Amino acid sequence: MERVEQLLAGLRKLPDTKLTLSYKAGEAVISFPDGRTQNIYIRRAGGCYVLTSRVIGSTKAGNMAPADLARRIWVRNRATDVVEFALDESDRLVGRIEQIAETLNRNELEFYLIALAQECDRLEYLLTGRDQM
Amino acid sequence: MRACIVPPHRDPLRSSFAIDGRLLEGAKRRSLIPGVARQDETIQVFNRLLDGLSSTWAIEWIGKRSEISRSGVAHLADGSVLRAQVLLGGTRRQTFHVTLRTSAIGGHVLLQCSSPVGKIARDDDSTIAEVQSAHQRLGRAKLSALVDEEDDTLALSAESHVLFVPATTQLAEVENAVFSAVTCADELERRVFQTDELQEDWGADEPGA
Repeated sequence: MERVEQLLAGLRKLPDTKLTLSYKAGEAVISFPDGRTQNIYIRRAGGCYVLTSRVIGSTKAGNMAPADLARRIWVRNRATDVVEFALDESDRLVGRIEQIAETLNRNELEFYLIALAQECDRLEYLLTGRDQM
Repeated sequence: MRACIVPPHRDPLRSSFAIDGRLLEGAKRRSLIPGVARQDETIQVFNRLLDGLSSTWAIEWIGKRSEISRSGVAHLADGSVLRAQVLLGGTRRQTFHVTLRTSAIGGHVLLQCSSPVGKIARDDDSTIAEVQSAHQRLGRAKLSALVDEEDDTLALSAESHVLFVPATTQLAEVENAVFSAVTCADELERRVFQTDELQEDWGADEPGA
């Protein structure tokens, strides 16, 4: 995680956007101009960094029929670049991006943070109409 | 009743209120991707990286729709793409399509790899739930569906993307994108559909692809 700490050191605003960022120990909080926020968790898995952000929790996801939820996720994935929506091992609906750790540079990390925050926030709003951390 | 026609304003608009000059300077923001690569450089790097891929791994190119779009077949065994020299009998094969496209967010160039999994009837809830569960256990690549209204099916593909910047994108990133999509698609095909068919890539002709 040392590389991520270095790439995000001193970064408070994400370029080409009005998004602000705070980062501490593998957790980035992205704030939108309207006050909505999206938490992104960054971890190392083998040779990759995995960026994950929750869309809806396991209780809400569990209240939807599994096939119905799958159809919605897959069709949404078709229309979304870079971000992968899927159920994680705890049955939460999350957005995820996985990239090679060794080659990750600051521009790429910033782009992935922006894409993940915006797409997860948008899908959360579409599914629930709310913003939860 | 006669319509009131307002003549077009031909002079620069001026505010009646005092404006802080600093607000007119605009935001001096740093661009996310510095500089824009030339088109020929982008095409050259894209094709060089794909040629590098097939010289190391058991991948055959079977079609080239344009300078920024190729189809191939990967040979796999035990859930991994084989090395070029290790082509043995009994291996599995998986078609895939690699293309450059523009991202919806920021308008950046992305390299996208998609690999077909199979088709499912839209109302086949048990197979849909089975695929969802298998993909959740795999935890790899993006599973996306193209709705086919004609035969009322979902055409499933595994996809992966990487930000494509000719000056910095490396072969390892392209390998990761391709391997992620083809191994996910092949594994789902094996576990759920229990086949190994070379399927057409139903996403390749989609606008933007």
